[in-house]
Amino acid sequence: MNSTALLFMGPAALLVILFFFVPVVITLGLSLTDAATATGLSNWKWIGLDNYDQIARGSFTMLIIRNTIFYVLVTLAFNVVVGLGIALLSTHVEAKAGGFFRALWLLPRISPSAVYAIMWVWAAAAPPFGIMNDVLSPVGVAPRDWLNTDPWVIVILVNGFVGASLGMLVFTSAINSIPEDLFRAARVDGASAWQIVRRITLPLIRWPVLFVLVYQTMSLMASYEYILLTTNGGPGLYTTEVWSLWAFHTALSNYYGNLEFGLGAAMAAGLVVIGLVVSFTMLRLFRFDELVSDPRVEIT
Amino acid sequence: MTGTTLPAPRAPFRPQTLIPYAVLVLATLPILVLYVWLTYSSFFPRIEGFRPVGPFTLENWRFLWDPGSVDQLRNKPAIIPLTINTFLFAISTSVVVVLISSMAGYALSRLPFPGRRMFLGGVLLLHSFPSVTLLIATFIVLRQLGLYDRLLGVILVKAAFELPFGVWIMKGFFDTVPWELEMAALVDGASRLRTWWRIVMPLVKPGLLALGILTFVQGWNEFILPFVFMPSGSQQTLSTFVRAILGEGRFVDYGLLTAVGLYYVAPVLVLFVVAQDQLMRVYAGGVKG
Amino acid sequence: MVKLVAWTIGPDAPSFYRKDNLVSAVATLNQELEKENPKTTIELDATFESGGAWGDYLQKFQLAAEAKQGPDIVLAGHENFAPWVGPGYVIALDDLLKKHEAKFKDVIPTLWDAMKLRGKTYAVPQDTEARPMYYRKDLLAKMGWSKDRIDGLPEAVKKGDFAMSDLLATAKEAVDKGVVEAGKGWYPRPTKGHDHYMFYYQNGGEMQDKASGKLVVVPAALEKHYGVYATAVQTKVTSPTHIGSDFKIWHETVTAGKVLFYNAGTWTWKEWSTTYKVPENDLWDKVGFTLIPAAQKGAKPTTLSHPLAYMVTSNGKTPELALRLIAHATTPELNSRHSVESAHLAILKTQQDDPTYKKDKFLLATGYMSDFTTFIPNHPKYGAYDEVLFRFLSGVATGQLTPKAATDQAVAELKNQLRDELITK
Repeated sequence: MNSTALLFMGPAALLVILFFFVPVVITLGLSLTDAATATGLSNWKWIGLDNYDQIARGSFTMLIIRNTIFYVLVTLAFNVVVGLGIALLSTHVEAKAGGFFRALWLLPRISPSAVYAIMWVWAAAAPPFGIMNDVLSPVGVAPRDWLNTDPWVIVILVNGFVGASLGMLVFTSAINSIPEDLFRAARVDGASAWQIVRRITLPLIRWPVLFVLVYQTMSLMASYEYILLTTNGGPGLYTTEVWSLWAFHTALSNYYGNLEFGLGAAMAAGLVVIGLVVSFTMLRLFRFDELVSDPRVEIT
Repeated sequence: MTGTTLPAPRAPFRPQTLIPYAVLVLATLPILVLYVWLTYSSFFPRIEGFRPVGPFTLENWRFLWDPGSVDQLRNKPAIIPLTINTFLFAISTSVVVVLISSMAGYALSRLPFPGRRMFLGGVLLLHSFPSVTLLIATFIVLRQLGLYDRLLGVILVKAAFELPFGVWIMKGFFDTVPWELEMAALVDGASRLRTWWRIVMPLVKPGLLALGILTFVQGWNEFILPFVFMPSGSQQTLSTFVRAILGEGRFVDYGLLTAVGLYYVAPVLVLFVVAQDQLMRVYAGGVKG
Repeated sequence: MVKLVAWTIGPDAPSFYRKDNLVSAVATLNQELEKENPKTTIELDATFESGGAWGDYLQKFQLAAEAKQGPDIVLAGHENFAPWVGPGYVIALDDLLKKHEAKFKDVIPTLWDAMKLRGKTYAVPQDTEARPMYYRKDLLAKMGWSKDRIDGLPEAVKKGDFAMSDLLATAKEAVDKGVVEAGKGWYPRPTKGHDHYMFYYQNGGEMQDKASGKLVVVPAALEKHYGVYATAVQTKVTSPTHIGSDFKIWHETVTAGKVLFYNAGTWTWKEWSTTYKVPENDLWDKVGFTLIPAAQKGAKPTTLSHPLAYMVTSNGKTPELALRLIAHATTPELNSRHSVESAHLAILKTQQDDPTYKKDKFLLATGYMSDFTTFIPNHPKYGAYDEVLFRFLSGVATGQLTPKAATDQAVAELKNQLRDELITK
């Protein structure tokens, strides 16, 4: 039996161990060194917790933590509320139309990030170039250079339009698996659409909602790419810099090519600790045991 | 949650009301407008807001038939071979991920073995690690294995990054397949491997297709891995080409940018139109209601 | 037969001669080699990246060098070799340069300063440029300036008669009179880059200690540097949303003639005519260029150059052949065609007499700027240094911080990150 399991699990386990597990361990190790371009991968020294110390004393650290919390919470709220709204509405209307709308919401998620982000950058551009101003000035919003005057609006919209689709799909499938009888009975009793949503749908999909909340919190904390491609952490003094982007800037992207792997690894490690806490909470909340319960029947 | 069919549509509560449609249209409009605008901008010399400046033109698309005439493209490889390379990379990654995920997904769904829970929980945790911060460490591993600067190395790394998702998805699909069929085969003396391949795999075709399409798209969009881990061929993918053009703030010709961007995103859009049902299923499939 | 590999990058597309000059050099080097030993010939496999990001290119080189699969020759910014010396990715060239001295004696001497780290030379200049202050002649005329005064501006700046404060005052006047819109009196570079440091150097700033090679910060100069931007923003000469705005729109606005003063590179002149379709005659009629005015009257004006350079890596078995190939690519003829095609300044003294170079009126007119130029330092930690200074600069330019507060915080953060690699003066 174990040889069968080994046969089936072998390739996946090997890849995950080689290219995920081992690199994570190496990265944690790197966080205790001064490794950087200037030391190469052979001349570095162990420096204990120096990198963590530097982060703790950094003058931007608090600002970046605040930015990260703000970004994660607001984007999360957008993702869940919009995702839930689209799921409720699109299951409420004709099935075909609902499917069409849901499909459109998937587009940003599957488009290459560089192209998707640049569309937003152009749309948000200063007059007369961007279309956001064309759309919003008739309703009384003064034309502006959005990325510079309201960077967070753009950052949250760019991420929100990508992120909302996850919630939308999960919620849709959850709503569709609610027995139709429940709704029929409620309608017979004369409940309004809103009452049905509040009394029946929402309570029955609270687990998927929680799942999406926690899962996306983790994804958002680790995400930086769309910010990199739009505001790149600016304008001004780290206005939209979040923790993972900071780690990226430090460890992997530097105009002058001196990448500080050690320091960047320490930043990533900080993220992992939070990720671990959130994941464990998630696994508790989500009856992880049920998700991974042992197969019921087995023939050996 | 079943992997194959969605429940029948529910009759609207109040068929007369159009409000839900109006709200949906309004909410979805930004997405639609962005893509339509991108398409439309690529056929004009310049665009200011919604207003094209100048007449309709195919000029921006000339990189397809006359790359030599575009300044930005001089000294760049021809776009058609790049497209083919990128396609091959995406397809290989997709095949590797689908095959390995379905093997592991099957084992995780059917076989009790030590370390099973740890594996499922572990890959979920790994998802929270910003994978790009692992690049240096991954490089160390690749170099040790002699896979640096080789296509195989890049494909394996990309596949590994996509695996956690794939494994969970495929496990979800296998969980929905009834046991009776394969049990009959096993009782008849067929091997596990044969049963899996001959009997179970055909039953999860929609899942395989969905995961395949999704990883294809991810491979198609991938930039940093081929660029950094395959220097000798790093000029050879479409993503590098597009990034090079999109990312350069100084030599900008927006008409050209929009056309190139659209060219890059086009196969994804086609796949999307053809296979949107499968795609939606993959996101819903991995999570229990 | 020896095979050499070379990597080069623009990222600007017109700089393709960085690769093509090496390719041309193969033939002449082979002729020379034939006389020494008929068996030795070289073959070159060279790439040129146009577009794309510097950071990615540098990272790619670093990993390749680490895996010992990198090129023999790499082209990069002069400051890029600083972090590569420690791990030994690039080699010191002093002995080889001495041996082939004759071939390099034409190089403009000051450029070698930018090729050194702690007294050793690690690179050979490939091109250079200057970063002028551009101004609109038509707008100055509208403000009532006489033609002589407009045309004499570069000379006035050069002599120190027209200082930075005069420039800001002129720009303010233009805004007040409605000659330009608010925020369009002076357009500095809208993104991160070397250009900003001209205003640090202008105010007596230093970046590197010659003797120890350590990085230097001069708080007083930094505060004045930040003060230039703060004043511009307060007087509505520059918009508080300027830093961080889109470079393409920057160019569109500038080429539309809506901005009085603006900073760009010498190479930008070329871009305006090719990419932004401004006829070159129009540029000559309406746009002027000067050095960056001095901080006070009578002081020295400045500019900044960022030479790109060829480096020889430790990867190749034949560093001498690699250097000789570079030598053959470093000729007035080859460099001039690069200079003219990409609007970069000469790196060789004799280029001034090269027929191709001489035909380019703009290169000749800006050539004198090389005498006033400054460089960014070659130091492994320069990236971190630059990041801190720029982030606080953008904090000042958006009005989030006063120059004083920004200077104090920037110096504290530099100390935190650089520790004993930093000297505060």
